[in-house]
Amino acid sequence: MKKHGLFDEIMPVSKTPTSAHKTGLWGNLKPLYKEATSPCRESCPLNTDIPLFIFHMKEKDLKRAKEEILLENPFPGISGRVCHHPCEDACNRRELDSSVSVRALERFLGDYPFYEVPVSENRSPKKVAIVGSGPAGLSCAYFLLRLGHKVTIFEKESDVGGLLLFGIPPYRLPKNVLRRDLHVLLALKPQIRLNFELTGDNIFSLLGSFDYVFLAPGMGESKRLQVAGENKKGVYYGVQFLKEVKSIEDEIRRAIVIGGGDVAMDVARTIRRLKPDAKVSIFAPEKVEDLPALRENVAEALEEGIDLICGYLPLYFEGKKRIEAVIFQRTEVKKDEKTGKFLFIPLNEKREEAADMAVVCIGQKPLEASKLREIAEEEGYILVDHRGRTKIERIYAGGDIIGQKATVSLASSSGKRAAICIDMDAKRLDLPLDELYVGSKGFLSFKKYLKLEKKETRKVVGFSDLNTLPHEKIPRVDAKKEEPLERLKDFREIGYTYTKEEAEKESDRCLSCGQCMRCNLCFYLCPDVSIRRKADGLYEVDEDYCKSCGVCAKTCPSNVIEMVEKDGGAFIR
Amino acid sequence: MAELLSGNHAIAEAVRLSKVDFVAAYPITPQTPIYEKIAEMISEGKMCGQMMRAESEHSAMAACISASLAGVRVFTASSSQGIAYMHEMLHFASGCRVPIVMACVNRVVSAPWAFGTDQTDTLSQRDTGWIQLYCEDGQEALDTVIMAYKVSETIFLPVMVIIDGFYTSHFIEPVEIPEQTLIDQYLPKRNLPNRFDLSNPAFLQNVVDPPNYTRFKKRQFDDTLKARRLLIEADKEFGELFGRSYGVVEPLELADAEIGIVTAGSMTSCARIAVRTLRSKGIKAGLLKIKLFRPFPYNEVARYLGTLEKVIVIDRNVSSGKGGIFCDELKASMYNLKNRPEIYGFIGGLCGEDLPPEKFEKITLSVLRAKKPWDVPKWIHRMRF
Repeated sequence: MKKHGLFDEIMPVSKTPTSAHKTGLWGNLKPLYKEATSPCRESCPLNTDIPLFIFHMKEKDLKRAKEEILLENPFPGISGRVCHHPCEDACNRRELDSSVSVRALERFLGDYPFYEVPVSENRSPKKVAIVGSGPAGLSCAYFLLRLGHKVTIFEKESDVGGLLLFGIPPYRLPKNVLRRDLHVLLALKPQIRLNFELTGDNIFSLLGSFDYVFLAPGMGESKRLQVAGENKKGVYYGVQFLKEVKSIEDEIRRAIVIGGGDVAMDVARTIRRLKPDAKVSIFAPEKVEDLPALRENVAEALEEGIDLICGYLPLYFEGKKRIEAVIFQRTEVKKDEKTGKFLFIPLNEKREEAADMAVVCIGQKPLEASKLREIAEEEGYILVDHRGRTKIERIYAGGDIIGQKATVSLASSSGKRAAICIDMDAKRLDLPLDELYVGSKGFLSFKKYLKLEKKETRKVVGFSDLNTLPHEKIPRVDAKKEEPLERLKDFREIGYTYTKEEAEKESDRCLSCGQCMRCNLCFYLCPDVSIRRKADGLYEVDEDYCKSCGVCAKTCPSNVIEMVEKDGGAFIR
Repeated sequence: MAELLSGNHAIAEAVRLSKVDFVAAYPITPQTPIYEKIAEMISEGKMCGQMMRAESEHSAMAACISASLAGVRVFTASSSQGIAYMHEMLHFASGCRVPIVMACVNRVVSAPWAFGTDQTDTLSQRDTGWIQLYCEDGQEALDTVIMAYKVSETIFLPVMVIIDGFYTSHFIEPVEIPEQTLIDQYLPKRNLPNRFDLSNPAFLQNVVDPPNYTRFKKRQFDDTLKARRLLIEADKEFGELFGRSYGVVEPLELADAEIGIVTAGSMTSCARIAVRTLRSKGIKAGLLKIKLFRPFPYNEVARYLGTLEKVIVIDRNVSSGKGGIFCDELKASMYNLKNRPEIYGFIGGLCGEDLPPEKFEKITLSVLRAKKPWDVPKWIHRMRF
């Protein structure tokens, strides 16, 4: 009896592959791989494709991860440290355990030594003047240079960087990080004119020698309280203080900082470092949960022994020549539902606090409105449309001056918007901006503008769209930090960049919403063996055998599979 | 060497002696001690097989089919609803021609809910294509499991080895445990085909057309009939080696008998005593114990019962609206004989109700008085003797 001979006589055995039966004819649907937008990316003002760069990190391809970030964000080292990270607030993983530490991952990549960016060919480059070298101006320059235009940056100070340079203390943003990130931009060879003062006249002379002008002068002036005693010795203002005060000679026992934003936190923490023996208190009008400052900045200030007292605004300053006390009034902050403005409602309670110095940090305003009177509104703000255009042709604007929330990433975003819209105008491209939006928050994608992305970006993947069964709860990886008392000794940066191991661990936590992570679950679970892996790691569907069961779409952990009608329609409906 | 063993443990010993590779089962009374004993033997290292706790009998049988197709020796056990639950897989097993041996411990099929023995659970699997062997006691069950593997692995058909719940499964009697070396000689490890050979891929049980379906079914039918001859040979060889053999049926005092009693399973023991008593009273009574139910032993039944005037069939089972299943099978198998006895059907002992020798005697006497047989069976529990 030959081997197995008997058995083929007693039981049907087919050596013909079952592929002879085209069982795919039984179903009318097929899976379509369709990557979509993650909520983190949608909320990122710079539109960084977060799940994609984290996917490259998961694949241990740090160069591609950094390339991916640099595509949308000129300064990952900077934003990896100071960004207000709306991505983490939007992260779907919050519903599972806690959000992915996107900012720490970005910082890790920012520090990864790869700094090359490609420049598109441009046969008719335009000359663009950029006024102001803060995040908005630098970002606009970066994207214009990458689009092949000629850029000249005009800066009032003797060095580029704007607020990044003097407005954020080095323990949060070290100067070497700033220089390193700016190196990417400077390698694209913009012209730089320092010590240039912007006036109402020279804007128009710039229009004579440049095709376009981008205005991003920043705010330049601190808001005043407008209360009695504000001129006394010992009263300072936030950004000026950070910019100018390098040491305090006077003896200080009690310093009071007024305000609830990041400048207030930074000022208080700077005083803590300059005068370790002084008691430093922050008085903010907002409730503690409504403070505009970054959570991390508030937490670190408290760790460093700074008092935080919420719900007060100064009534007046007391003292002879120098201030001796601040008289506060209990205040409630309410948002006016109609105008969206914040109302400060005084309550019937006063409070006197002894103080040797006080720093007022209640925000910035545009420098003397009259200088830009042709362009600016009453208060000095410059209004722009959805393309970043001012009311004067060929003049664009961005950054804090356009009246948006003052954050580095929003400023950079407005710079990118102006760069893209200037390029479109220069090329007479009549492209609706809709095509460049990702999600619904109105931030433009450079990747989409360069047509480097094909995926469906208007659909945003929610937590309920994901199959989270393959994921366990994993605690967030927190980067190491020094003890608070150690930090106070100098202005060295607080906290460390992730180690390679920490970065790998944290990137593994990313749920890859809308981003195929090549997990192979569809490949393994397809009951009809109809999903094949392609050489590039992605998948293809064999419609001849796919019976439309939808197991792949249901189980996809990233929600990148959608069941759609087969092209030829159905054999049996 | 004889040991005191319950019928269930005797079966477990047979599984160990047969060096079974894979056991998948789901516990159910009264079969559970088989399963537990095997688990114990594996955990103590007395037996080296793989045990799989399935989530149901249906899955247990599915696992057994797959394992058997992979070329290993497979065992499972079940009772009552458990057997009912694996019903569709039983068809699949025989159609896949897998040499699985399953111990079935008879128990009523609910409802009403009950636990005593009743052969309806296995008899209602009559048409699933399994060989069925009804055993009288623990010793026979042990020996039959070993023989079952020999036959099963030769003809590639699954076998049920059946005992009565509690009477056989739980009664402790001296049981002779054969030497392992002799068992190895009797039942060597066969090189069963591995149908999941990846270097020789094939699709099993593909869709077939009507002519091919019929061809495979005919082949299965013929092979099932052949199993009778193989069993007779296996039984004979077993007898030569171990001194015990059972035949596919066992005739007792039938050569000169006028009336014969037909039984299956544990009630046979009481029937033996009844025959002895009746003989001592001068009544020429005999007994035929049917061990092999599928394939049906036509030849033996004709040979031993064909010359009698009257035959009594006691059924511990019932096919509602028809009769006792053994009785019906017997009538049908003898219909074409030139000389055939009158056949008197009785139903009794359901749910483990006792059938003492006196009842067999009284039934025999009543049938001797009867003028003609009846179609609808008589129910023993309501009879006044």
